[in-house]
Order: sequence, then C-alpha cells, then structure tokens
Amino acid sequence: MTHEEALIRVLCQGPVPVEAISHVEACDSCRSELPALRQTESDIRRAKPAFQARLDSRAVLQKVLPARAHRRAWPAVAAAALIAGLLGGWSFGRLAHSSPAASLSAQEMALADAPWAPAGDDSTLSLLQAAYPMAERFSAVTAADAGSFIDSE
Amino acid sequence: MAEAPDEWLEQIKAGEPAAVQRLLDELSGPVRRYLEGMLHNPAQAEDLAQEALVRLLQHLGEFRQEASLRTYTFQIAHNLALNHLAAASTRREEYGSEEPLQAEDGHQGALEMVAAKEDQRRVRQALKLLAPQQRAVVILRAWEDMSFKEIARVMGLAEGTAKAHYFFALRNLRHHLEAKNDA
Repeated sequence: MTHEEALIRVLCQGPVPVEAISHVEACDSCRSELPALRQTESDIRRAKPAFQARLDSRAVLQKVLPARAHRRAWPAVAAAALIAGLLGGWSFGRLAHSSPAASLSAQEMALADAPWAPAGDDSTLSLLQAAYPMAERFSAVTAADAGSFIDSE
Repeated sequence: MAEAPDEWLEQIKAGEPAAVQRLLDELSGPVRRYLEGMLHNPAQAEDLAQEALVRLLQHLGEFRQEASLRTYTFQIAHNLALNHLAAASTRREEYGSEEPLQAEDGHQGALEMVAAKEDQRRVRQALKLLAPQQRAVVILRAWEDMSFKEIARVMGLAEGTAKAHYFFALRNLRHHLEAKNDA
C-alpha cells in the first residue's frame, strides 16, 4: 500500500482497512501529513459561505412555463391534425363519390343524403365537438398555471 | 434537503405551485453557493444557478429517482459549471472577483472576525488554484456535506476516483496555503 492509498483510506469516509491504519501509524511521512490534511479540511469547512441567497423563483418559472405550455399543447395539436386528416379524407371521399354520381339515379342521391345513411359526417362531427373543448381546456390550464405560479410569489 | 418523497415529486412534476416553490427554495441557495465556489464570479454563478434549476424543471420527466433530487440538480449544475469554465478558458476570460463571499460570522470580536475573514479569503483564493474537478469535489464534500457516493454520481466518476481527487485537492490546497504563508 502506497502512502497516498493509505491516507485516502484513512481520510475519506468508509471502513478503514487495518492495513491502512498500520501503514499510517508506522510511517513518519503519513503520520505527519494526516493532521495537516485534516487541518486543511477544517479550514475549507470554515471558509464555507454562509449565504443562502435564494434565486428569484419567478425568473426560473417564467423560463420554464412556456416550455411546459408547449409540451402540454401537443395533444391539442395532434387532435387538430387528426381532425384535419379525417376531414380531408372525408371530403376526398365525397368528391370521389360525386363524380360517378352523375350516373347515379336521383333516388340513390337521396338515399346518400338520408339522415340514417352510414356516412362519416356524424363521427367527424363528434370528433370536432370533442376536440375543441379539449383544445380550449389545454390553453385554459396553461394560462391558469402561469397565473397561479406568478400569484404564489 | 431530505430525499424527495414520491408524493412531493409527483406534485412537482404536475406543476403544483407550492411544491415547485419549495423545491426552488431548498435548492437555489446551495446550488448558487456551489457555482460561486466553482466560478468565483457571483453574477455568472447566479445565471448558471438559474439555468440549472430551469433545466431541472424542464427535464424532471427524465428523473428516474436513481439518486436524490438534490444530487440530480447538482449534477446539472456541475456540468454547466464545467462547460462554462471550458468556454471561459477558450475565451481566456479572467475570473477572480475581489468581492469576498459573505462568510459565517457568529459573534466574534472585531479583530478575531477580521482574522477569520482573512483566513477564509485565503482559503477561497487557494481553491481557485485547483483544477475544476478537484475544486468541485472539495466544495461538494466540505460545503455541501455530500457523501463520496453522491459526489461520484454528481461528477460522473467512480467513488474511488472522487476520493482520490479529494485527497490530492487537500494536498494541493495545503501546499498553496503554506506557500502563501511563506510569501
């Protein structure tokens, strides 16, 4: 065991092996260095600044909130994108059906517009109805969070 | 700071104002002190402490509770400090605020207080002469009372390496202080 290894074992926390203790006790160099190192440790502890000056938490929160709001908004954005896709698909489907519609009979056209017809209108509408309050709720939560964080200062 | 209980952590993650405020209250002082010890520049330390806490809150979702929230925060602060010191050395920026840190005074007599403050100033000046890794391990151990296991985690080192850094830092500091005494 070197001088350094022995001193590290004795100086730093943890179980000290007998070998390290024996080395330090028997070694003049280590025996004189150990108290000096302990004194240096003590000097550093005494030089610890007392201040616990806290940061302005408002500044921290103001930097964090936009990012949080951005992350919270993604479900609304995803829902809007989904709706746009569905609407697009639905419109395309209508157009695709409408071109051969010229050959459809008036009765078939009437059947297609009938309220009980299994069209995509209802599901799209319900999605829209569900999505808009959701989007509003996300923006409301974000605004409320910002307000309460600032108010809590 | 005690280990963050799960409930408190969940409140912080949910953005509960009181829980977030408590987190900032408990950590901002120590993180700022650590960064000031590392950088010796109060203004930069304040900016980086703020940045560390912002990053903590932004990345709280990635916190896996393998360590304490305090250790995780110091880990962020330590990385910011090292990056800042590396950038500063590239810019050849000179640190060395002559503004002394406010030390613990107690109720000493005026002369004793002056002598104690002078000793503290000398030690902090000597700290500046250490390599950043040695400085970090000394500050975390002596000022923040961290275990070597925690220090190793903060600094991304093996525990034995952290202990070795500590020993050589103490030895170097002693040499610097003795040299100043002789001068």
